Amino acid sequence: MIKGMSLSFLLCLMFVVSDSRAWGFSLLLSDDFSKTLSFRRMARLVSERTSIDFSKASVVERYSLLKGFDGLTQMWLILPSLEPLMVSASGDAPKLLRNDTVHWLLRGGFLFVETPKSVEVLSKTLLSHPVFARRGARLGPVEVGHELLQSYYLIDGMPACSSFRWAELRFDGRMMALFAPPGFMNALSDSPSGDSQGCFAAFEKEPLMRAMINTMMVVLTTDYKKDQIHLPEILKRMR
Amino acid sequence: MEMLLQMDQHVLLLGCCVLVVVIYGCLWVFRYGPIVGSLAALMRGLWLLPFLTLLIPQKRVITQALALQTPSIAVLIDDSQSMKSSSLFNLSALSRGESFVEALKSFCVMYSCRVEVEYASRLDPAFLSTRTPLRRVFEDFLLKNQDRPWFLISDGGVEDPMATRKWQYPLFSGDDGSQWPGFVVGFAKEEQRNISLQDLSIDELGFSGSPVLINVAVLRSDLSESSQTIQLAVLVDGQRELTRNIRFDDHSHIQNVQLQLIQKSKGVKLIEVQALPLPAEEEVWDNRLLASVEILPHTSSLLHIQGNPGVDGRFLRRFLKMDPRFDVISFFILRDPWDVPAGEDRELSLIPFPVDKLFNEELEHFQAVILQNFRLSEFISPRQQKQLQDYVEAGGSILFLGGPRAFHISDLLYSPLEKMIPFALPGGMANMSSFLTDSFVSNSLNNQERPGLPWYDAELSYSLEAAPLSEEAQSSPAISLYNSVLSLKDSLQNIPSLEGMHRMEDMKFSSVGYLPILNGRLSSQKDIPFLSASYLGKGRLIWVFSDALWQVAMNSQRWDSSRDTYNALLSRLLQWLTRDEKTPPLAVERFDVFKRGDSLEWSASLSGVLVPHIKKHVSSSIEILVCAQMRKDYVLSFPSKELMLVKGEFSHIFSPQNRLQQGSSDQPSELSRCDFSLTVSHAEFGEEVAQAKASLPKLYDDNTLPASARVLEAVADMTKSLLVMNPDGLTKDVRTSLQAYFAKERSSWQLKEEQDDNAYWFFEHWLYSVFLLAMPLEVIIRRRLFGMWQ
Repeated sequence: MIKGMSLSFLLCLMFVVSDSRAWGFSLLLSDDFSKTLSFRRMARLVSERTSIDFSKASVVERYSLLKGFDGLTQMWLILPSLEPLMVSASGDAPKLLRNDTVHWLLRGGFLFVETPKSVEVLSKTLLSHPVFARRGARLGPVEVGHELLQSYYLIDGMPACSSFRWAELRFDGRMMALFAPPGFMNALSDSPSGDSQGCFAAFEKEPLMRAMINTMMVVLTTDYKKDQIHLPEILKRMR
Repeated sequence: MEMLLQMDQHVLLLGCCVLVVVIYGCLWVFRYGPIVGSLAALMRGLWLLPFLTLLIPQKRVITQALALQTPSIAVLIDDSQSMKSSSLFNLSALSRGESFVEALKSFCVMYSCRVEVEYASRLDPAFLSTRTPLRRVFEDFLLKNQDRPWFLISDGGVEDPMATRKWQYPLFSGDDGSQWPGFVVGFAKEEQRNISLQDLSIDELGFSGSPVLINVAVLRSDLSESSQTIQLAVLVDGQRELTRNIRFDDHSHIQNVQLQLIQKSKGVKLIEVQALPLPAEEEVWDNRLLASVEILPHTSSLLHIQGNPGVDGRFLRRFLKMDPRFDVISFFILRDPWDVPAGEDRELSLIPFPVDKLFNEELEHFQAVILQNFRLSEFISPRQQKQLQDYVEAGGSILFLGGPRAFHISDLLYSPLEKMIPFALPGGMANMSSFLTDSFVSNSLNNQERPGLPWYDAELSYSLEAAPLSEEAQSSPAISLYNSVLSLKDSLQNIPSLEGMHRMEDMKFSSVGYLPILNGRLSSQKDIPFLSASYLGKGRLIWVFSDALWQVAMNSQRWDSSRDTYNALLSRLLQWLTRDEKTPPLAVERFDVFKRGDSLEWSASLSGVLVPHIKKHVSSSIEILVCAQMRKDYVLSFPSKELMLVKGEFSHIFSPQNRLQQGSSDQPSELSRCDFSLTVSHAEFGEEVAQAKASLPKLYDDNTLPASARVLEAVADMTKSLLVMNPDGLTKDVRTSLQAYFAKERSSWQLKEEQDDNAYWFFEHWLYSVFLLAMPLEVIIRRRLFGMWQ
């Protein structure tokens, strides 16, 4: 018994990570989210299930949109609303996405925005920006067969209530922004409050976790799954 | 007394003479009286003066010719069978040529010149057969007669007419750039209708699927037709790929044509441009031209493996997929062996990492492998790691990007990666056992903060700076990569700071086959290697000791250029790795084969930044393959810094027993091809291969090509000499040219100058006779005047 306990102890030691792991992935949330939101459990689960290394030092970092996007050097920002990003050139002119936001997106940034707006409204709002209009951006729903549904877990669909759909802005050959129903991040947090979860209050944590993991995989690995689909053809071409 | 001895003896003698005259004068004054005596003494002095000047000689310079000059003219007569048998105006070409020589001799009688005649058959007995190997004989003739006028008398019926445009010997102008007259006297029928091709140019490199531009000039001799259509065909390795109709309008005689050829398959191709002969066109040897082009693959196949999903991988993959030059297969390790996905396998979209298929079967098909934040020992067995090492040593390339999982201790010790990395761990093996133990106990995925290991410091801030190069490093073959990255220096330096880098400051980097390119400069002004290049065997490697390249895209001051900088940097790195350089380090500029007697000569000129290194490392291995034979008997020379010449010979190749025989004398064989491949390798630059193709010379005997005015035109053009066709004697042009030459020659004969003493300088002037008149005056004064006054 003593030997068994010693062996177990030693085996446990093998899996101890003693470093503080200052490196690793962090979520960047706008400070429009509640300051009490914590995602330690989510980070732990992601680290346990995947090879994504979440930073133990800071799972979540906060960013004030007042600073603008020109100085933002991180590539993923999560927002609870699209409104702070919209600005009107003058009086009655329709609101367009902020130029500094567009510039940040073009540099390589990724937006995760909770919004109640429909795909049609989002499309009309965002694609009217001259940069997107000129260069063939597309905004559409996340539907069956989308890479989000098969990047890690095979899921039938992104968790959503009947009135809301997930949408993506596709541009420059990648998913540039993902629009989720309101309350998603709250529902995913360690201690979600009832009202702030929106329609996700009725959801189990697991589907939300899987959706988030899939999202992270797509954001960080893009469409590499398509390589594997065409792998035999590509290999044949190389010979 | 001593003073007297030191004085010039001429001056002494002069002084004595003057003294004698003075004494005489005094005596005469005493004898004849003061007036008569003085006058007589004066007269005596005056007529003695010229003779006294003999004692004071003047220096003079005499110019005279060194030797008696007799200019000469050299004549080479082609006395091949065709010259003897052809008949124009009932005389053979040889007879007419000899008549021309007689006319030349008559000219020389008037101009005191000599005519020296040589017959080609005496220089090469092959002329007595049915072949005319004029090239070699003519080159030797010109070598011997570089400083005097020369004549070539021939009918142009040479055995290798296509080679007349490729003779390499500088056949004209003297050392001081002046030109002595050369004349080509031709006896051949000037064909009325002829189409010829000239000035074929093709880029040495092309890309599959992209057009290869071919430029060629088409000439026609018959301008009687105001418009004419000629058909051009382009053949690639003997297969017709393209045809084009060329139209001549308005009596023009030349059309410069550009053709576009698209090749899908890669490799060295022999391009032949042909012009369809005109009806009744007799000389068709000049209707085709050949050149070699190397087609490179349009896309580069890349294998991308990332140790875990990360931001750096997102940006890299985005770049690779965006660039159509790259065929990318990416593998992301989404789950570590100890991860528990909390779902059944059927709920996961994960597939096993096909390490066996990739490393055992497919590795050689990739032009480059990208390992990004990847711990090899975790997924790849030592045998497969060795295969990776072999892949690089055989010419493969690796882009190694760092990160928390890279350069793990288990990869750095007792593994093939240890052989590939361009640095050694400090402290040697003594510290390694403790590192290994700690690593095992902690199962750390990262080298924890530990001096002596290239551990990843996520909080390290730095800016990018160009790595300073030693003098030796500046001549590294990878300097092209260094310079191309440095062209982005301004953009890279605009980035305020990056974060996250491996601690490389304690590592000992190799001095051979390694080149630092970018450093990370800390706030303490200390520099740590950030990006480097190295060679291993024939392969190339690039090391990025960080996973922060994505920050180049996100951090730039200008939003519209940040991705450009990132893309440009990656593009340059991959261009070097995949050897997709627009100007390869070594390329064949020209490859020719010639017949020389019974032998086949070949020569190739290569250029590129690699040439100085080949010259420096004479021990670097060079393998040369010519016409499918490995050659070891070659001559290597380096005419300039970035040019090398290599040539050799297949001796006695044109014999009935040899497989390269060119066919019977009645029927020349079809064009055959000869491949050239030069492979050079050295630890400093890996391995490079340069290739080309040429056609074996199509040979004509005197029966097939007895005479050719086109050949004579080509020879005259190559030698910048005057072409005279079918003359009956010395033409006016020849006569005028020779006269001008001899006049100039005489004015520049070699002279010598000599200095001597001219004692008679006074007598060269008419004044001396005036002085001599004083002699009879002296007598008159002494006799008559004295008598009168007595």
